[in-house]
Amino acid sequence: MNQLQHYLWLLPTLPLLGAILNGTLSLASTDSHEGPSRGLSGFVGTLASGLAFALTLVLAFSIRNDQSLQQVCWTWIDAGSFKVDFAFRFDSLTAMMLLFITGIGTLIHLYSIGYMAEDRGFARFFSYLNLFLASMIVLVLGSNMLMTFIGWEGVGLCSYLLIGFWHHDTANGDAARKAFLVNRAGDLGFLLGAFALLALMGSSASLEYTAIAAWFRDASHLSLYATGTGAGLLTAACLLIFLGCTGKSAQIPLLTWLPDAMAGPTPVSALIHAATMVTSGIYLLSRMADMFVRSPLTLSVIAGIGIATALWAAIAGLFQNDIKKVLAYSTVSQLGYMFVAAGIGAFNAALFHVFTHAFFKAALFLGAGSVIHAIHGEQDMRKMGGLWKKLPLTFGVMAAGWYAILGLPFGAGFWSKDLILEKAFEHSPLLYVLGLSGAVITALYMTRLMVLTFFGKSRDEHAAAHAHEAPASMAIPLLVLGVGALGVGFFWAGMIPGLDSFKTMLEPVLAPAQEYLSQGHEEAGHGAAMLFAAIGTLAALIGATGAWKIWGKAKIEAVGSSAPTGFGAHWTYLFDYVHAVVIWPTKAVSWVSDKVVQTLVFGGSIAVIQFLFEFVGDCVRALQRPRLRVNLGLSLIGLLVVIAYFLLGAF
Amino acid sequence: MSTIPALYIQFLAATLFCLGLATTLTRRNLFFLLMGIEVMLNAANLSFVGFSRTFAGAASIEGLTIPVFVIALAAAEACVGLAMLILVFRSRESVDADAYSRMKE
Repeated sequence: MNQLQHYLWLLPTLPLLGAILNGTLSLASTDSHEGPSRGLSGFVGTLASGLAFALTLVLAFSIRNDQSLQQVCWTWIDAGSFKVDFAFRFDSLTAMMLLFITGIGTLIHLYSIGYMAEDRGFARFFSYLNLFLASMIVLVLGSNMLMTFIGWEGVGLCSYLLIGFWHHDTANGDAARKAFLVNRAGDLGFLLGAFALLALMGSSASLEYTAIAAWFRDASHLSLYATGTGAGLLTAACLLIFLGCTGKSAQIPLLTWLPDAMAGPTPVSALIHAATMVTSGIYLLSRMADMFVRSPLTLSVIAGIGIATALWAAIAGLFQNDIKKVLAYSTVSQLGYMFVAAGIGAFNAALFHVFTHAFFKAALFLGAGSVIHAIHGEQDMRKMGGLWKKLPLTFGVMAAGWYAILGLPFGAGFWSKDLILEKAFEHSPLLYVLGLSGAVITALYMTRLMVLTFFGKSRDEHAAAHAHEAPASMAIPLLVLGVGALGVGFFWAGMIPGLDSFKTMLEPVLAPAQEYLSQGHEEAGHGAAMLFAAIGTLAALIGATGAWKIWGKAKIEAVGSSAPTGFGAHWTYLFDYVHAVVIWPTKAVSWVSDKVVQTLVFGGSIAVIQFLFEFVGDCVRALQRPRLRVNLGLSLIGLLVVIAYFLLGAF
Repeated sequence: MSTIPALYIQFLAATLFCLGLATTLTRRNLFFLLMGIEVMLNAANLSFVGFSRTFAGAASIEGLTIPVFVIALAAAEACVGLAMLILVFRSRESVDADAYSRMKE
């Protein structure tokens, strides 16, 4: 037990080694037509990920919930009273995050062996995937904000690399750049928020999460941020860090990159853009819960933005014809629910939804990937249909994911989403009603996806005729995640004794913040939980039946591209329009900075200075012509000046 | 025996110096340059001798000694200067000082 903290550095290092090895293999084989051995690359990548998962399991089961492991590798910054260590910290929140990051990560590595088998960039893909895993582990394992920021930037980089993985198509490169730039806007918020926090904490400034939490828990510091500048700084810090979270977790206003990110290979969409990276915003909110609960304004903003995103993205999901785009908007919508939970102070419910969502959304994405793989790269649902007979396993897994995301009884979403809705009702009935209508729309678009893909008549006979079920390396992860989508909810449910560990696991980390928030008003009775579950199930059933009625028998023609048209397009690209509006003044300011400030002010002053020096230089040079008598005369004048200086100086 | 006031001697020395300087700066002929330098050196000698009468003791002796060194120096300078002048004249065919402005070429 006492020795375990010395092994924390291994967690990110193992995938990093895998990334370096696969990167070397990839670089060494640039000249060959086939590329390096797929067996070797896939084995190395999956092994690196699997070892990290095994180590996480060992660590997670050898500490108690209220314990934590801390490893300080070295002191990074030491400037007076301000000190930042290169340090890792493993507590129950980190354990929970790491378990599903490395666990689902390993499954998706395994899946990629089958999915990417035909691709020339196989080793490069595994190198990026390993690098992503290493960054993600640093993100959740870092013991201070700066460490998290390393991981935060690292996952952003890997997201960029993997979205643009098939960079021969310019559109993919554009999507990658968009993701990167939009995330940069958020990252700026993260950094400025950290600076605001440092300014607020004053002499005891620290970026260590434990120190920040302790500082806020100390009641004697209340006067520092209750009023005036301190209150402003606290709000600024909270809102700016939340802006960083909206970038990473694709919330209003920085959400437009996530649907475009579907340009990447499907395992990437499953791992990065559904299960792990996009949840890092929730992780950061929960990690800094002690700060956020002390800024009620920020909490309201978070909840408001969360519910707006959840509803907007759910409606946008209805208009998509691309199977991956539906799932992308679904992810944005589900992340919205998590932010609602965080905004009303139910951080443990938010994290539980992160956990269950990782399973069922990964299952859905991998299932979609299996469908795309089976019909040779077609992603337009209008060209699918009737596939359930051809792909029974994929259908089964996606049905499990569908069951879970709808929140039907005893699926994963049944426990986590209804928990969020229940907490929302305790907070404000309006939030609950909005959330519930979101759930109905969720059922609508998810059932539409299932109906269009798997039921009815096949709308592309040629593709369907050649459809084939996934190979074993893809089938195993699918099965595991399918079972997970149905089963992981029981970690909270309490129906099986001893399994409801999730409820208490995060308490040591989150309880002080949540108790601070629940001071003053009574906890609502929990007897109504089953009532909420029943209403939630009813909402899901209404949505599903509605979708069946609308699309079950509908004639669907596949015309043109899969992009939505008409009102659907305007709705979908709403925030792209908003971005355009924001980008325009930014460009105007850039133009002014370039033409006026740079060219006129700086360029002009430089030109004037240059002219002055040239003029003086010319004058002096004229005096230095090689004329003996002139030189002699000038020496004399110089001598007189020196003599005059000393004589006058003497007086 | 009537004595010449010390100030007069210094005025004479200054006038001689200025004349020598003016010769050096204005004339283009190198011989006149060397002559101007000689005049300035002798003006300084005259100033020293004049001060040797004004001051008493050791300073008086120094005022009389330094001109001896200066005369030796002036002789050396005239010697080397004239020798260089003849050499330069051979290559340039001119005694005009401005003609020597491109010596390094």
